[in-house]
Amino acid sequence: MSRSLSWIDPNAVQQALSRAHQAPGSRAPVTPQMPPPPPASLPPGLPEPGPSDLTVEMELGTEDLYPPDPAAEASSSSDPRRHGSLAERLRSFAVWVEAEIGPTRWFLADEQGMGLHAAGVGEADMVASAMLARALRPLRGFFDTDRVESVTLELAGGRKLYTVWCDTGLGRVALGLQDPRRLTPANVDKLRAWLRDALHV
Amino acid sequence: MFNPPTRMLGLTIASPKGGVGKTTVALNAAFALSRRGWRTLVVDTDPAGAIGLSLTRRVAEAPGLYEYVSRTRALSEVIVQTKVPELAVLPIGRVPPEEGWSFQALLADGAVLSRFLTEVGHHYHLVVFDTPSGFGGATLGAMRVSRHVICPVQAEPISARSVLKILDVIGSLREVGAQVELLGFLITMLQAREEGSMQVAEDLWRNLPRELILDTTIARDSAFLEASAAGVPLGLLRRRPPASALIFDQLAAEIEARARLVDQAEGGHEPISLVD
Repeated sequence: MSRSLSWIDPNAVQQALSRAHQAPGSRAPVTPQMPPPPPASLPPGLPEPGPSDLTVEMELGTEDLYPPDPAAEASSSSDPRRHGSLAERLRSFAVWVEAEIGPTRWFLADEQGMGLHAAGVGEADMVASAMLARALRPLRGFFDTDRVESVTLELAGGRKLYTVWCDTGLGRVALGLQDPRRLTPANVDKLRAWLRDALHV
Repeated sequence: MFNPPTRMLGLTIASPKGGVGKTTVALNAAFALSRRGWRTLVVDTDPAGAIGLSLTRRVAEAPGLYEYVSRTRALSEVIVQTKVPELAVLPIGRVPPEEGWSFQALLADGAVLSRFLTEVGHHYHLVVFDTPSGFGGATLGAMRVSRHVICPVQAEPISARSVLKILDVIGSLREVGAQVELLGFLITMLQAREEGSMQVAEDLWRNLPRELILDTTIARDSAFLEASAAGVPLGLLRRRPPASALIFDQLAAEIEARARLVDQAEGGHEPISLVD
C-alpha cells in the first residue's frame, strides 16, 4: 500500500526521541555551530572572491524560458517518484538527479530554506538559497517579471553554485547544485519536470 | 487562586519551517497565559521583527533586544508593558541589516540570553521566545536557555519534515548539557474540510507517540490575519472574541499541565463552590 505523502518513519522517530530524551550533558560539549557569517555578497561556504571575480547569471520570468521538452515529462503513473511518502519520493528523485547530472553536491530546500534533501552540502547552502530568493525579489520591478527562476553564481576558479526554483504541488522549492558537471538547458527542464512529479499532491 | 512556580520558565516556539504560525502561537499563547494569571514576557528574537509587526507600529519600531544586547539600553527601557498587567513584550529592536548575522551569532551560544533571563527571572513566571524559522543563532540560543520548546507543525506535507529535525536539534543540545525538552508538536493551519490537510494531521497522530502532540490544534482562520492587521492578539480583536481566540485558552491550560506550572502541593485544584 502506498504511503501517504506526510508519512513519518516510526523507527526514525524513536531514534530521534532517544536522543531527545537522553540525560543532559551525556557527551563532551561539541557546540552546534552556526554557519560562518557570509561575505557581503556570497552565500556562506563559498570561497572568498578576489576583486571582480563573481559573476551572477539570472534566469527571469516564466518557466517557459526553455520550452518544455515532452520527453522530459514523467512517463507513467507507476513512476516511483509519484507515489509514497515524501521521504520515499525524494529518495527516488535523488537517484535520478545523480544519474542525470553526475556526481555533484546538491540540495533541495523549501522557500524558507528548510532542507528537504541534501547530498554533500550543509545547512548553510540551503539557508543561502532562501536568502538569495529574498534578496532578488526587489529586482522584479526592474525586469518587469514576477520572479527569478534560477541563479548561477560563478566564482573564482570556475566554481559554480546553481540554484533553480520550481513551483510544485507542495509549494516553491529550490534545487541547488554545486559545480554541476552536465547541466544544460535540457537538464534544467528535466529537473523541473521531474521535481514537479516528485512533489505533486 | 494559583500559586506561581518557584522559578521562571523559558518556553521557545521554534520550527525549521517558516510560515507555520510561530509568532501567532507565541503572541496568543502568551496572552492567554497572562490572562490565567502568569506574568509573561514575550521576547522577539527574529530580526524580521514579527512580534512587533503583529502589534502596533510603536512596538515594531521600538528599541528592544538588540539594544539590550549591545548595552545601549537597559532592560527596563526596552520592555514594553501592555495594557494587560501580566503581559509584557520585548521587541527585537532596531537591528542594522549589516549586523543581522553577527547579532544572530551572538545569541547562539545562549550566554547573552542566559544573562537576560537572570535579570528578568524575578519579574516573570514565563518567558516565551518567538524565533526565526530554521535553527540559526537566535533559535539555538533560545532553546539552550529554555526548559521547553513547542514546535508548530503546519498541516501540509512538507511541514511534517520538521518533526525529525527538531528532535534532532533537541538531542544535540541535550548532549552538550541543555535542559530543553519538547513540550509538544502543535498542529497549525489545519483545514478540517481539506483531505490533504487532514491526512497530515492523521499521519502525525498515527506515527508519533501521543505525548508528543498537543491535544490543541489551531485551525486555519482568517481571524488571524484580521488580528495581525489590527495589531492585537486574537483575544482582543473584538469585545466578544472570535471562537478561534478561545483555542489559545485551551493551549494555555495544556501548557500549564505539561510544564507543571502549578505546584500540586500548593493546592488550587479543589473545586470552587458555585453557591454558598
